[in-house]
Amino acid sequence: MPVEKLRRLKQFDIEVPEAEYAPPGHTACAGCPGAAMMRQMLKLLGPKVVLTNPASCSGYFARAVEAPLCRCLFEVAAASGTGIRAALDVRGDKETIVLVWAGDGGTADIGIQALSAAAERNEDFIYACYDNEGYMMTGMQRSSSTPAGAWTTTTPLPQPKKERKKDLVGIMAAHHIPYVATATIAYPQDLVRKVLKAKTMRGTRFFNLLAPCPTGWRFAPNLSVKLARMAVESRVFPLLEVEDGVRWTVQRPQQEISLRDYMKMQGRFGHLEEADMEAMEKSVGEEWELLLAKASRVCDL
Amino acid sequence: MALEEEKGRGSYELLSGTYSAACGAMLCRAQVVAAYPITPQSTVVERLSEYIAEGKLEAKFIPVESEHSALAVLASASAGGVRTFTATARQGLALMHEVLHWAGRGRCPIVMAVVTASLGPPPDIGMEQDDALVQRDTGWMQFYCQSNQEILDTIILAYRVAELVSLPVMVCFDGFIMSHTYEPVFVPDRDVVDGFLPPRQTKFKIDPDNPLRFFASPGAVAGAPYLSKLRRRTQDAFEIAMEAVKQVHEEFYQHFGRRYDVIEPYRAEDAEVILVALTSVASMTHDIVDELRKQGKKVGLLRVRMFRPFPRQEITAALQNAAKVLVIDRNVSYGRSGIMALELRAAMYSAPKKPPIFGFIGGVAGLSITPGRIREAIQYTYEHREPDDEVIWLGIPRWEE
Amino acid sequence: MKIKGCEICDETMHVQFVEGEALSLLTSKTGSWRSVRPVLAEGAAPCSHACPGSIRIREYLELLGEGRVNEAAEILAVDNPLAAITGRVCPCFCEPDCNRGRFDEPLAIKQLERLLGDYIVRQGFSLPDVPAKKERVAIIGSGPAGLSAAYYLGRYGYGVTILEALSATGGMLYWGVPEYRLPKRVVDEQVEAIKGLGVEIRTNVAVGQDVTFNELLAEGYEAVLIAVGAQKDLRLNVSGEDAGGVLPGVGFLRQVNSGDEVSLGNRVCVIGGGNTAIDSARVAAHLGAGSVSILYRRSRAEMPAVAGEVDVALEEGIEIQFLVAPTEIILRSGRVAGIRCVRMELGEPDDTGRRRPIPISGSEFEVEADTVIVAIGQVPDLSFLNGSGVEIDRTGLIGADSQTLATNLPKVFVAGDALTGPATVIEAIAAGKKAARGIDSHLTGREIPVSPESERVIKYEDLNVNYFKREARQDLKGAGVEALTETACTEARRCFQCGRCNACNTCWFLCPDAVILQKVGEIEFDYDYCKGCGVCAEECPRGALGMEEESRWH
Repeated sequence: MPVEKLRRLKQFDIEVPEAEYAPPGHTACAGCPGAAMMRQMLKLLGPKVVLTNPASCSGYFARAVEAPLCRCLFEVAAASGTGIRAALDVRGDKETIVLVWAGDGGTADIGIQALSAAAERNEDFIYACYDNEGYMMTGMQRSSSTPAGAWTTTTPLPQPKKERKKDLVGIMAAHHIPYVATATIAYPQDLVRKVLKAKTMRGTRFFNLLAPCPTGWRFAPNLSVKLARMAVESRVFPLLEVEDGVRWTVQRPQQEISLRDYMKMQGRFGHLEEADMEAMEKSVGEEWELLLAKASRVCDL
Repeated sequence: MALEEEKGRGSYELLSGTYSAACGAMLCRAQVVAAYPITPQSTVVERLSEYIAEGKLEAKFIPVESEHSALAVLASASAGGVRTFTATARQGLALMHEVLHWAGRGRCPIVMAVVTASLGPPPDIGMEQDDALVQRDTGWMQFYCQSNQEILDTIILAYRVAELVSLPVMVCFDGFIMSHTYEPVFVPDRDVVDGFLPPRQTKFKIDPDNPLRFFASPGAVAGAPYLSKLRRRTQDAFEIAMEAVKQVHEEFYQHFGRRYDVIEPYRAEDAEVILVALTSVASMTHDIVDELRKQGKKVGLLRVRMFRPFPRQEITAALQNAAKVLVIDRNVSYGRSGIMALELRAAMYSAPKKPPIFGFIGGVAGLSITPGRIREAIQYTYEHREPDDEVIWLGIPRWEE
Repeated sequence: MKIKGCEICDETMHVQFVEGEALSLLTSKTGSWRSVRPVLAEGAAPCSHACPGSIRIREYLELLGEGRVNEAAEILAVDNPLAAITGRVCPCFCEPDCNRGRFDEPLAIKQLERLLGDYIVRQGFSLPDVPAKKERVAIIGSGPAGLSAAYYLGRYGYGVTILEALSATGGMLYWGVPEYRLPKRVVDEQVEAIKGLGVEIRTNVAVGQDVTFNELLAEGYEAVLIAVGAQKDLRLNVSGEDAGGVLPGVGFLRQVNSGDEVSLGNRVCVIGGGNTAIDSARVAAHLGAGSVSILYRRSRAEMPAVAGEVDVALEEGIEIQFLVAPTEIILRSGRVAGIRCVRMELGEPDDTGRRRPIPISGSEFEVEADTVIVAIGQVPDLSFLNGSGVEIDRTGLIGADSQTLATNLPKVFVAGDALTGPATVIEAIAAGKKAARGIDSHLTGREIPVSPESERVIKYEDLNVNYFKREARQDLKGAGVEALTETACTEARRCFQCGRCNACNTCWFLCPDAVILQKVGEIEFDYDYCKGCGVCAEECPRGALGMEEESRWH
């Protein structure tokens, strides 16, 4: 059994495997956090992984991964994961992890039926929804994950999206699956801990990974990590875990910023008035308080 | 043990069409079953669940939330190298449509039982055959069975063919007329089936130690040169399948003692009028042929058992010497005609002799095709030199009437 | 199984993943996408930049933080041979500029230097593997400039003899700084460590008295370094200055440091605002004077003394009157009875950049005092150079070449306060190092390396502090060398490592395209694939990466 070579992330004093399963040369946009997070997850999950993914930007960055890859139709990411798990189990392979990787559209919209069913059956896979808040691959159309107020190509001005972002975490928690977590690229230590935790568990484990999209949200590519951080600090994307649907743990960031500061970084919100942003800030603040009240544990990031 | 004795090892059971299908899947040791209930298929799934619960079948049963997901589960499980099974009908098959293409072009050797019956609106469960026939373009092989024995047997040989040529197979039979009627079916012993159908072996399966990419393409999109060759390759597979089926039919006969063929003519060699039919219409016509022959009418029957790949040469050869041909379609391809009529006319166009083809549509939406209706159609054919229209409605008046 | 000549094949629709050909179908050389490329762009840490000795602070802190005490000590020993001293008395230019100060608290650099300096002294210096040279250098003065020069000349392989006029070595370190600020034991140990390199020190040899300067020049040394410091007190030039009870500052401290009895009156008044003034005031207070006060002609902000010392003096009850200058020492029976003073106001800046004090006419008043300590500045005592030909400028300092520190006389060099006027210990150490290099260049013809173009100094905004956690500064006052592996190690790890890639692997982990290969001390980008997104440069915790325009566009 070869010893796994590790590298230390000195800022967090944690070690991660050095092995790469996502080599360069894929055609995701420059700065894509989805690509970075897939690379990170594959590292952490190790060589015994099968990846299945539907149409999504991941079609660009999953192309050359060094893991068996099973493409599937758009609606059926969770069903595909189910099938692969069944086949592996039948073959006596309980060790290989099935990683289902889909975008917010393929998860919260067209894919939600299959996902809900798989969660109800507590299918044994890790489902990673990388959330860039829209149908970015097909040209930045709105999805149910697009936040209210955002410009997209199907909610162009003067009528940006009215409806609030669908609460995918709440939906998945309501299925009482063993593990639901949010994570994002700006907090590597948090992402690593959660992925490694999920790795040791069985049953349906669901991740909502915020992936700020330079192309769709309209900002410069070098800021993708910064925006992910700002999303957490403005509390619009809380970092949390839910175990068995009932135990909520919230990770509180080191500093808090106003939602306005976060939104002003993004061209897709460029048309918003101060009054709009103020109203949104208020509602984000209220939801944050509700979340803290629901949490049985709040820890510092 | 001599082959003769082996052929005989098994027992008779009184089985419905759906239970025959379930029994077939059980004997074939299906490993992953994902299915969603829909009338008139539900009892296939129920019986399989019983088998699994009783330990008669060691399989993972996945109670999916829709037929679309059912087939999607199996497509990926198939990429996982295991033997898969499902069953559906009507709306369920229609819902699967997208995934049928995926599994067909994806070359997944899935076997699916299809219990044919109505598509809505309005919702209805009467027997007709649109649901299965309209899927003929999706890259699946299709068999149409006329007896419960044939259902069980076809499931077994379907796996053998599917796994040889890597194509999925639909085993279709009539809703209610066959699914819910019982016949004595000879059920071979499991180990006899094992001797005919070994466990699925494939070089290409999902395996972390040998990473492959399934259902994927070399680029972000496949690109025309690659994809067009792939299309041709799939069509070529159907040509190979044509030969494979014949060989497997022969193997099946040798192993089990029951003979099947892609078409089954009955007294058609010297017939002046031949009725072409699928499933129960065909099984009903044997007696009518005998009866009419006694009356001096040289009538014959051609049952089409395998619909995809379409046995064009066999069918055109069988119909060459007929003066007239009639076909009873229990389906409608709106804007055109009955589907069997369509396929026959296209096939006969390149034959040296082209007898006129009378295309009857009847027995749809659960309307019965009785022996009387069949005789009516044959009579009509005798009385007319040529059909006056593409479609002759059999027992179905206009809306206003 | 064969059917009509075709091999039945078991196929699924797939692409076999193999090396080479299929991989090239699946990937593209995405390096062609970019218009900017990431490059390693290390910058200077503000602490080193502020330090007159340019000590490689972040480098030794990194090693200390990893528990590699000996390696940390090696670096510090090369940059600052008197670390045990500066760790106690330096005004500490580095800590106010420490970027960590804007995050939580600045690194306790001075304390860490003290601990490591003590450790170095305890271990002794090690010489690099350099053959001993036959040339010998004489150094006049065993203060910090002279000791530093001796150390660096020793590292070159030269033989060094230091001539020290007084009975104990260390110059102002021994004689001018009070025991409570810098124990004599520490100075002695430091000097011993330097002697351990083979440096000869002769005390009680005053050049100009026991041997003339010209005699020294003729003694066969290939170079002579003047490092006599600036220890001659400046005079107030007011009437009454020569009376009993008026003591020059350095002279007073020297007397105390020699162990002699010093008689002070009850009301001591110190004139001046530098370290000598504060030291004198505190020493006077410790000696039991009834009341001690300081008069300074500018305001607190302009005081050259170490700020911490001023704070302690005030805490000890020493009164400081700002914007006050003496105009006359009032005598009674030939002894000090008081000081006539005038109030000052600050006018335009003078050539030191400080605002010039201007007397406010009509604001005279009197301060009672029976002892006056005059500590208004020092100049070098260069009487020994009379007739030598060494050029002395109008401010009483020796002139020298700025690169080599060579004086106008061949083979004669100068370093320290004798060159600059009173300055800090670290400046003297840096001067000693420069002089040693200048001497070596003179003796070997070796060129002095040109200092690199002014580097980018890392500002707080260049960092990405989101990757650090707030931590309180360790209190290392009074800690012993055993702390080097405990609290000092913990404190050293707080160092941001501004501007220097320390292979933290943050960029490696964040890169969406896996194009960063980071090995300790080097970072490589795979430019065939790097898309130039810039996330690495944006997120680098220490501002060590930059983005450059792709040259192919020009």
